[in-house]
Amino acid sequence: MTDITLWKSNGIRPVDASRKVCAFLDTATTSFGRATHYNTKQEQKAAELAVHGELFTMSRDVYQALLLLPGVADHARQIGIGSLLSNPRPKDADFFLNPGLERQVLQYLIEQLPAPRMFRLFDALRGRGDAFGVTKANNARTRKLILGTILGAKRLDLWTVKYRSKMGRILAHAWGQRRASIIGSISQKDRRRWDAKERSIMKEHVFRFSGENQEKYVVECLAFLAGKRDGLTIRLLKAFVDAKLDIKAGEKLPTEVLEGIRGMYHPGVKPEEILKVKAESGTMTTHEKRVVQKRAKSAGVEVEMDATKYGPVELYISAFENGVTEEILKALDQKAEQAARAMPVSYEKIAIIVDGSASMAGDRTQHLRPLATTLALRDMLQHTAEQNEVFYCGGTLGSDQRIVRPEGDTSLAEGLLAALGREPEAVYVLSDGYENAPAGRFQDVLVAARGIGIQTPVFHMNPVFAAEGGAVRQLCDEVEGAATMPVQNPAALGTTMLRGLLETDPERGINLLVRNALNGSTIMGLKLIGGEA
Amino acid sequence: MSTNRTRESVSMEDILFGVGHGRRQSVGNMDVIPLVDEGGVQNEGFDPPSDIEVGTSTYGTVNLRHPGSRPTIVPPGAGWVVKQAAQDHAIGSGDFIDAGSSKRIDTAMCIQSNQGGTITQAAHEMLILPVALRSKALALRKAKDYSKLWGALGSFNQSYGHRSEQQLAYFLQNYGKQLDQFVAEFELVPNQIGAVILVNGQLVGVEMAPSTEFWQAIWNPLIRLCYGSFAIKQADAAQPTREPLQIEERSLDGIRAAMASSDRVIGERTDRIMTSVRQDKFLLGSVDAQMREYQLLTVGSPGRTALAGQIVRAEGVRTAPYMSVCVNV
Repeated sequence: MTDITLWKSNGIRPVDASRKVCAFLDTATTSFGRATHYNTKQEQKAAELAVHGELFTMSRDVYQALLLLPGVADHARQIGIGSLLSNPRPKDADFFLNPGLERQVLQYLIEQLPAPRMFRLFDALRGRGDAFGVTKANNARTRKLILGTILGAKRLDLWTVKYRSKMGRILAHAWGQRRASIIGSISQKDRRRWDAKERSIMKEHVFRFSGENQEKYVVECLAFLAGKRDGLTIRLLKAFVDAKLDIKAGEKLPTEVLEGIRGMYHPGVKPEEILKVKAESGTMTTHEKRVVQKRAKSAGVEVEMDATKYGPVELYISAFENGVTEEILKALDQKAEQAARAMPVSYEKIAIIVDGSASMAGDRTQHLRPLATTLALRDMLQHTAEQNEVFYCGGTLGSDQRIVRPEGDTSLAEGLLAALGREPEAVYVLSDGYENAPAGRFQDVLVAARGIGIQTPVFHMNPVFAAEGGAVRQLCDEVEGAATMPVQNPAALGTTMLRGLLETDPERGINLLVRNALNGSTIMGLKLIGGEA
Repeated sequence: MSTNRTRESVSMEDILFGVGHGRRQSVGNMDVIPLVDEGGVQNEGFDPPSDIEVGTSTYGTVNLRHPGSRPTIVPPGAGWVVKQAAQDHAIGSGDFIDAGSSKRIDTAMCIQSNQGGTITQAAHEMLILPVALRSKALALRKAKDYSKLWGALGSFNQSYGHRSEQQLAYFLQNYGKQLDQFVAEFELVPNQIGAVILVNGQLVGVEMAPSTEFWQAIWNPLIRLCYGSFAIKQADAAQPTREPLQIEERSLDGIRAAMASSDRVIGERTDRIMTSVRQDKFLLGSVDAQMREYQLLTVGSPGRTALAGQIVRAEGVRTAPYMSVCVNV
């Protein structure tokens, strides 16, 4: 067990620290590094990197601890890992983590990333391009992290066929071009004929990192990456070669790999055939099944999708694209109920205001995600109270009473007035914070309500990061009992609710967040001391 | 083509026949009154100008290609600020491009004096010149001189307290983020085909498209740079355009009544503006382009609104599927 001391606000004004942490939470839980309805990708990125930079400079350890929080977007974690790896850890700093714990944090964060995002990040560490604000990182711990993650992966064979070019580049970066070339040559040779020097090279640079993977398995994957295509024994690698002659032999390959082979070697085969081959083989991943639904439908191919395996936001996006099914509705209810149980605050009677205006459609690149998040939150909040009532402002509510199509201008004040009229214990407003019919009316009404003694807490939950403010956009400026909270998915709401504490008691709030982050992750050996919760 | 018709006029009432207005949207010193199709006025015969490919062959000449299956209208004051090492260009007059056709406009103008090079033909993002430059560009639409807007560009940048750079990109660098805000704040409403734009409560432009699809394509360039630039300029003299809540009874019903009263005042004010707009008349200027039965005409209002710009209408028909008029500042 390792003792650690939590963060103290030595020399930093707690209010400044709180502002930096709040800005980070806003960004990390809502920004996907993409354009929104309002801001370009470049603007989002610049604002996001500035917020990360501020917290990193304030405290490297608070920064990395908060990256562990549930609800922090993969994109924020990619930026975070990049920052931690590109900047060496100062030896004499008065931090509450140590180099060993930082390694564990990094390993944990990497493991949480889906493979495509992990490879994008590793690729960015080569220092080409400016993704994630990463400068080139090629220090010993970066190399160890990359090699351990890739060579020790349980699905190294899958990664080898799916990410072969990227993986080749990344390994060459970690080993160096010359060594990568030597390892490639050795891997293609018969292992029984390796000489002592070759064996030593492989031991030091490959097997040291390959964990529980068998040497033979790792060597064959590396040989495949180096170009070997004959005498393969691993089923997936063999399928890659065989599919070039017979497309059906590639049924176990990932869909996009098989489609690539079709385009290059079987141009006469229609794309729908690939869907059929994959659907019949039953080897599609959960993600693939959701993504191909629309195409499969128009091609007349049935791809069964198990709704219980998806998050509520994904389910709503699927429902927008392909329509609602009984199965999806049932799964949405289950997920909402589950998420509601983790909510740290509950009331008996609540009102929920849903912004369905045109801007909630979001940008083309993350189309309908803000509204999907909003609807998932609505469902979850409905399960947190015995009585609830939903007020829709803008948008068109479908006949299923669940799906809202974005449309029209934004006038949330009418919804607020109607909601307050029902005397709830709390009002939740789910909105991107842009109001125009007219702007400021929501605040006017809330101030007027406070003026007549209505103190009902109003929680504004915002699923959209707004680059122009470096945070989520608020509906009210400094109106008592009207907090704005960023939220990307219902499961992360507990984290964002703690944000309110940061504003009232920064030091306590930051320490509570850090504790939650470290305890919530599966990093072993941490025992928290110091700081009050 | 150029036919003189200066004595003929057309009323706004005729142009806006079948077009109603929606709830006014107000943010800061800008207000937008959506114009909505009340049934049957949409003209689906035009593609939106969103896929137009643009390039320049020499300074002052833009080559446009429209890959779509229906003809399209290029808005007056359309411009292209590109990331290439090339002179950004704009056009003064609008134009028609037939389905799948190309058009060469040799009366275009360079909007970047400090950069050489021609624009490689591609679907570059279209902008619409700021209100303050659009009327000047329109007045100079027939002159073949690629540098004809440089003086106005320099004065334009200077009027914002910056150097008198003769390039629009300089303005975009300085105000890009603020301009994005205008796109952020105003939302499209169902069946919207146009808008009346006010700054500090004063009418500054009326825009209308043939269809909702067309409108969606031109709204962002209009609100962002064309009108957004004017709102920024007028921000110092900002008048509150929002009607405050006057609460007489301290209860939720009292707030509700105050809100209804405020909405009523806003609604009445909006109706008055719309009545005034509808009463306006335009004198018809030259026919600047023609495609089959459609004519693109330059128009100007001698009345109170002093709006000027271009409309598209079919010969002998009083209504117009397209209108883009703004104040001359």
